[in-house]
Amino acid sequence: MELEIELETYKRELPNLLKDEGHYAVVFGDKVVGTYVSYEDALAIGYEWCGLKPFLVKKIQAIEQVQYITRDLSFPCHT
Amino acid sequence: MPHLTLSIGPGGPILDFLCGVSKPRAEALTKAKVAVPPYVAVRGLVDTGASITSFDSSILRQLGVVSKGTIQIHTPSTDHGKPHIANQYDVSVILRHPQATRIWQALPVFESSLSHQGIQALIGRDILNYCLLTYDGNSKLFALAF
Repeated sequence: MELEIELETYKRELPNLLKDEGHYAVVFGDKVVGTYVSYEDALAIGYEWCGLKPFLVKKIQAIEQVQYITRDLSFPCHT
Repeated sequence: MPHLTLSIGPGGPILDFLCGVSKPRAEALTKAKVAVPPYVAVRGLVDTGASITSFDSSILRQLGVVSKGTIQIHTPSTDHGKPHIANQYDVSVILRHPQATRIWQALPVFESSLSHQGIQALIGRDILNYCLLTYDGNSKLFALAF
């Protein structure tokens, strides 16, 4: 699974990150790079910090918002 | 406010637009002396039932983007409250108009399979929230102002 380590890191650090709920966390490996107000700011820092290596940008939410699509879709699997 | 008026065809309100890598990714590619992929022409369905914009895998492959995370999605086929998990990517989107162009420099979108439906994107409410959409079913026209 892509970004498996980063997703685990985010999950582990979520209780600490919730003080910035609604902001965006940048996670690289087992490290939280920082939290940023906008998605674009988070991306910019992520690319500056990690270059073209994979990193995670995740909106900080106590309960993750689920998106809704009113048509059936299929989702490519990369595993 | 510039607006596009287009026909509603059998596939619904379909709009041609451009998709590229996000501005931060373009800057990172330039810094790494890697060519920035050119914008790709995309055929998208204006979909008020989609809370977030989605692209067919083929478009994301052309742009060479890599996942920045995952999101949870409910569709009619998700049952018992268990959502799908989809990969999320960062892209930029351009809606073109002769008088003004609207650019989203960094938009989080998700990947799905759409090309078999004759489209390559669902234009969701994350974009439509910044537009005025008029759907004139009697005239088979729709207008999108942005």
